Amino acid sequence: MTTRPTARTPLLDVRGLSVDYGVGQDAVQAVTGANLTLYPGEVTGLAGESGSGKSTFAYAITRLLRAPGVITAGSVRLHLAAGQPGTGRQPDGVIDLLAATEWQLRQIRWSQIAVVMQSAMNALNPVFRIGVQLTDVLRTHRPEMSRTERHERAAELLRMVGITPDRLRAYPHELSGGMRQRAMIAMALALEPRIVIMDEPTTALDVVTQREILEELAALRKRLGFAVLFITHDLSLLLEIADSISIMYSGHIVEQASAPELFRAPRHPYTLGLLDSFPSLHGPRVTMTGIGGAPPDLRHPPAGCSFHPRCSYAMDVCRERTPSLRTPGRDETSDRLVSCWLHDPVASSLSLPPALTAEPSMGGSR
Amino acid sequence: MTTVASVGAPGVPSPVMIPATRRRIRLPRSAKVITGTTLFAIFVFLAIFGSALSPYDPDFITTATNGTPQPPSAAHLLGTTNLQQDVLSQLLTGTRPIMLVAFLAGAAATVLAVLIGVAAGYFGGLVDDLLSLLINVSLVLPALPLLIVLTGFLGTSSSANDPLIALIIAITGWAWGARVLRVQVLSMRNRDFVESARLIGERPWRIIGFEIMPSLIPIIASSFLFTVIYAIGTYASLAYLGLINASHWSWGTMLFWAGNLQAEQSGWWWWFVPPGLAIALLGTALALLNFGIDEFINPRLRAAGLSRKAARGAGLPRRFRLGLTPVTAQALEGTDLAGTAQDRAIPDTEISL
Amino acid sequence: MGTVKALARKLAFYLVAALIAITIDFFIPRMVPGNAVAAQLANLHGTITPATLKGLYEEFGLSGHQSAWDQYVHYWGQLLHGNLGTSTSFYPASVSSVIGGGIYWTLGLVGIATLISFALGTALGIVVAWRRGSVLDNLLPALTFFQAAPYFFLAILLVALLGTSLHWFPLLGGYSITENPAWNLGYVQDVLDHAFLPALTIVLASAAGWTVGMRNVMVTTMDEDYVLMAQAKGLPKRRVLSYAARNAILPSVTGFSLAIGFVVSGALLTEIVFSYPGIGYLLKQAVLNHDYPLLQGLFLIITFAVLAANLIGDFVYVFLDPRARREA
Repeated sequence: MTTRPTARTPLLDVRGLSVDYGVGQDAVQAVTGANLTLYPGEVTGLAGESGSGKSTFAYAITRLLRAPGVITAGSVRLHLAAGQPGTGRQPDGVIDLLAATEWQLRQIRWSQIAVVMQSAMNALNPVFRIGVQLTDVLRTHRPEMSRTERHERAAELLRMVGITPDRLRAYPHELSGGMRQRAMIAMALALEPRIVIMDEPTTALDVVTQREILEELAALRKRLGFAVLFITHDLSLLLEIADSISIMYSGHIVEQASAPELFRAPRHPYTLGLLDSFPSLHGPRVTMTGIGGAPPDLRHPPAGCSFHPRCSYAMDVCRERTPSLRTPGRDETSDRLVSCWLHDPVASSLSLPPALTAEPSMGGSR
Repeated sequence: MTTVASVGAPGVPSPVMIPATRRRIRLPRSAKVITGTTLFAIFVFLAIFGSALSPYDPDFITTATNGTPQPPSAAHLLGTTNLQQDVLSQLLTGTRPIMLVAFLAGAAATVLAVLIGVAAGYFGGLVDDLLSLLINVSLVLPALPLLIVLTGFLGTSSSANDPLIALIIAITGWAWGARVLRVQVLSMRNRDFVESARLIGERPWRIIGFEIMPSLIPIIASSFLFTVIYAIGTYASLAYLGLINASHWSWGTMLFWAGNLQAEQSGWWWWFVPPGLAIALLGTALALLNFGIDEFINPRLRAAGLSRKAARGAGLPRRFRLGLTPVTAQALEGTDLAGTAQDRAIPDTEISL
Repeated sequence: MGTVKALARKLAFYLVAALIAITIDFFIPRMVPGNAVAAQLANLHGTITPATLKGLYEEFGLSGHQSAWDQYVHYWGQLLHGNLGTSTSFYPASVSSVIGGGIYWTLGLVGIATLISFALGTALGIVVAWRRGSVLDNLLPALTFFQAAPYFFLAILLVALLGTSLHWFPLLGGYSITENPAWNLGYVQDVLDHAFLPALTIVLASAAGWTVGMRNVMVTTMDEDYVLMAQAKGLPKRRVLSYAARNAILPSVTGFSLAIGFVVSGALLTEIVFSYPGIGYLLKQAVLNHDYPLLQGLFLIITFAVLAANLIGDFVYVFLDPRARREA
């Protein structure tokens, strides 16, 4: 999918989200002015290195961020069909999660948005059986279900992810790592939510199990049609499974594009650096350069563009002012987004480096 | 109880300092710690200068008149005992023995705890099995009855021997610290930096000394304080029971005499309240200090990130609610529930040429 | 199977501990400088026959004819027959009968007071942790004070305040001398009246410890991922709380087992202050009168009681924590 019609209804619209840890002078600016849009049924990837703020972003959206996290700006608009739980008196079914009351949040949580955490061992309560942890959401959100119905549903959910229903009576420590993660996914889908946020769901697993789970996920998506926000540091994984990818650096979203476009035609120097960090399986040997330098201290972010200390194309304006996320200057038709002065027709009178002007439709040597 | 939990939840980064790697030890400066330190300093001062400051000799019988204790007066700020001895002097003089015994016992117990706990945790295997058995048995046998029996069999002269008593108390009090240390050393032993040191061929004592010990220091400090508190209470209890030579002045002994004369039933509060209060206050001071160290070890125990003043300043709810990340009032300005009206301006820095 | 194995291992440990306790008890008189028997003689009222003297020597195993090992075996033999020796202060009553007279009072008072205290302290700890950042946090320093105050001091304070000044409760003993010890309402009420202040002391002194401990564990537990998950699932507050508490209670139970020794010690001291006719009272008598056989016997009984309580606590833990049941 290269070009998309622009008149689609988004499912979740995050605008200008800023999250700090702490208040006052010592506050750490974990996320600044981040925009992200999720569309129904699509997989949106959020990639970035450790400390880039991607997990903070994900948990802040649903207001599950732990202390001392504070949301200091932005809106998180969830589009619901009218009459769905949580909309209350909103006729058009749009609710800003940041302004929602506790009661509304509780209604929306899990029934509309579910979360799969990184470590299943820690996310599962060690003293309760798996079955109980599957049915508790049913008890809360579907009070009309009877005990047998709940039990049946729990068994069905386990079967859906390839676990035999006799494991309902098991405790978390009795399952293998892969099974635990699958159980978590089953739990997330209990109420058939429209969005599932997955925080590095396969990072802790071996590659074989990783593959199995991703395949299961694809099958489930086909069947149930939920949207996924997939957070990971593994860009190569996203290139395979995501429809659109957002790259996050130092709390800012620096690029957003569909997966094939991003892969073949990156526009941001950081993305370029990331893609260059994967050795190719074929072709001649090249010296790997990676990206020099280190991520900035989020308490005292650099002035201007946060990437400029490590950017090989940095200009004077980059050191002074922060670019905003917008369509690259010369591509008016696409809905790609980049946050880089190089693509601002006013700021950059220089012609772009060839690496950042590749056309997505070209075969490419990547 | 000191809980040793690892900091940091997977997936959600939080900028919290990890004690092991910091060079400057910064104790949390909460009201509790300051109160504790001040109180403690006062007691240390009294321990050193107590006998010099006391207006009378504690044994001195001022006026051998009646056998009734006199309430506080100008001559005797805290009244007198039934033998007309000055209570204040007894209180001041009695500070030193109890502090001495308590700290000696604490030190001895901590040394034992470190030796046994670290050895058990580091060496593992049979050594660990045996030492663990020793630790657990020591933990499970009730301390006070054992102490009572031990001191009960001592003669009257030995029971005034403070260091001896301190040693005996230490023998019953080291196990808790050893257990905590053992758990901590066990968890650290498998960490990469220790493994690499072992692989290089570093000698065990060097590894223990330089790699493991530094991060154990807060736990050792906490365990030391805990043991001192235990020793204070225990020494006072032993004295109260009359197991310590009754002519050797300490707060516990004062309570012994007061109890013998049934001071509480006769309303002679100035005799038993000051020593008991002193014990409680000293214990409280140490416990508050311990709180501070506990919070240093486990930062989660501190106030959840935002002080009330800071929260109020940012327009946030004062109390942290689990699962409800606060949103500043500034962020909510101009947006209603549907977030439709007045979109927030996205930071947009246009260059004007 | 895992459960049985885990329980069996615990039982074995406590048997070993009991063994060690008995051995310590055996050695104590032998560690005393000077002749323990000579000290005893000073206390015996009445005539001392050669038979009594010999009996005393044998009791302490100081007969000189037997080797240390034989004495040890002899000691064990006596124990297994329930023979703890003869009390010198209550002569000629046997130690076991003396102890038997006081043990029920202690069990009643200490047992019930400790359970109440644990339940109260744990509940309070959960509440303080849950309402973190509220005014309840100011309770903590006060609780610290109660935790640090020695049991007998609190006891003395209560006697002075509620007993002497306000005359709300009786000060001494387990029951009024005027009442007839029979199972009627009047007697029961009287017993409760007398037990109230001692029980209150124990509860005040120990509940503070449970509260602070539980609060700390709860605060750490609330930070766990599975509690965040419970919130993410949109579960009602009460459920989230129970998810956290159900985990936090585990270290608390362990703490209970470990602290029971302290609580018992404190309770004994409390009994002494109130002249409550339990083990504590006997302990003081034994110390004052240099009644060494009684002292030894009391040590054994108290230790066994604490070991038993620990064992029960450990058993409860295994039932509460599924992870403890797995094969090692």
